[in-house]
Amino acid sequence: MAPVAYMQAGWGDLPPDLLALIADDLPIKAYTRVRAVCTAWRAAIPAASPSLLVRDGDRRRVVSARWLCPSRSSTVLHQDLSSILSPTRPSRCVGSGHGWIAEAAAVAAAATKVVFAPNPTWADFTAAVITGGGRVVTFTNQGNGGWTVVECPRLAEGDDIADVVYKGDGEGEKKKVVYCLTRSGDVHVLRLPAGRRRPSPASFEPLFDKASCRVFHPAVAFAPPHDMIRASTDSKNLVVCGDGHLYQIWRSDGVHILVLRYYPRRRPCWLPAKDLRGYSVFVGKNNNAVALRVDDGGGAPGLRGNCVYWIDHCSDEAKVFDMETGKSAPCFPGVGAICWCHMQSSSRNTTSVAASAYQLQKGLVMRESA
Amino acid sequence: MAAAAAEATIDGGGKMIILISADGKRFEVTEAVASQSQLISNMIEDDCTENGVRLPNVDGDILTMVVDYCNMHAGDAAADGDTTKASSTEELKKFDAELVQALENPVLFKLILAANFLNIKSLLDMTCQRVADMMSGKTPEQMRETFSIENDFTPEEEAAIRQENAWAFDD
Repeated sequence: MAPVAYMQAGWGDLPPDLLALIADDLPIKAYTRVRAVCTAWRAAIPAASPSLLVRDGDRRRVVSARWLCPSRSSTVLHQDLSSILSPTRPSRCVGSGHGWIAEAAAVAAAATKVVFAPNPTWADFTAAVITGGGRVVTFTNQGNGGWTVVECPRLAEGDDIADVVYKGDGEGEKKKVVYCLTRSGDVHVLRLPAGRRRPSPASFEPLFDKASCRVFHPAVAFAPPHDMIRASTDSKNLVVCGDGHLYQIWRSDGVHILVLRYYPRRRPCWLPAKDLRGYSVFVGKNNNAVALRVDDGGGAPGLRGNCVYWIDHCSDEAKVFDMETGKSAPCFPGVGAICWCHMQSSSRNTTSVAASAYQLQKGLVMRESA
Repeated sequence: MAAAAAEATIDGGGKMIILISADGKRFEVTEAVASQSQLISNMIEDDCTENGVRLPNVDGDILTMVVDYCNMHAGDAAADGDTTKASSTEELKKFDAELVQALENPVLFKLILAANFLNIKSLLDMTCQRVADMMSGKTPEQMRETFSIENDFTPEEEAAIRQENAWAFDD
């Protein structure tokens, strides 16, 4: 750098690596605001990447938590969020996104996952929640909304909703759609209540094999041996990548991970995938408890594409499953993990969104009183 | 002359090094003090400090602050050296706090660049933290004011950014 240029340089010319170093220590909100200051700053620091919320210090007493992620792409957790999330009850965190973390309140300890339509605010949000019984309830506080149980016509006796994921249409989010994965591997499209004054009620329809609206035929979905394996998996997750591809992620015995990609025009329509087309997936704890986040590997230094980042609840460690090698390895050995959190949002790329603990509590209390 | 000075030693202080700022000011420091800069430490190892170390990116006022800082913190770096000269922890904390508080734009900006160029990690961390503190709790517009940055987004771009992350922009 020539001395003259150096004398004239201003904050807008701060070298990108220095700005990244500074921003790395900011709470998520300030971090996001820094990216809105000017084009140079926006280019210098990446969108906040998924972070791992970990236990810190004394497990029983200390409520603090910290982000642990590849350096230069992590952001510090809000102090008030760390006080909400008790490390002694990690399973209560049921979703994250849009700058929020969702935690199930005591009255609704049964809720296992929450997804919200983008840009939730205290006054205006729409959500879908998996209840303890494996059913789905939706919530909207628009018009005469509130909590509604939505019946799924093709859910067999004994089958449950295992995962939910939000899928926006990207054009003003007029269609608010949540994909629901059942424990048997079937996928439904849930239309969230929409409309300001008189919300249309939420409704289900099958994603594939629409002609059979009451009975799920596994052969249409899976080829052997996956039609058999699906019965023995411990957990299933659903994920929508930014490129629009839909995947199921199956885990069994806590170690084996299988990724299936959805092909709308093929039969069977779910086939094993060798990669995630450069994306990576973040699977929360307790099977379906927390955020599923998809990111293109190039966007965040230190994160690799075509990997499934997950949490092993036996060893309490965050692990990364590389689809190329088919093996899992600890990401941060020896650190007790709470959950993967993703606070960033993008209308085109959002897979999991949530409201604050207080919002959720408020909403569920409303449901109780309804 | 410079070579002679660089070769000189003082009692218990080890070898001396001359640092030369962009505007030609000269600073004589011990190797122990200068070695807190990873850049200079590497130069010492490579034996290329005899004629003084020219720092064309750092002007005299800033180098004064850097040298003061390194003098204060020399005790940190010296593992088993002369401890009588090492500042106490409280003194250091007070010194650092006063230094950081006194920093104003654009001195802070220059000091960050200097800390980065000279590769002095503790000074870089401290100055970066100061900037982070200045950013905290501010809207993008307030940050532009604080740091004298021009908003070069188009109105469409800015609207899109706000829409995309609406949660970050409401107070």
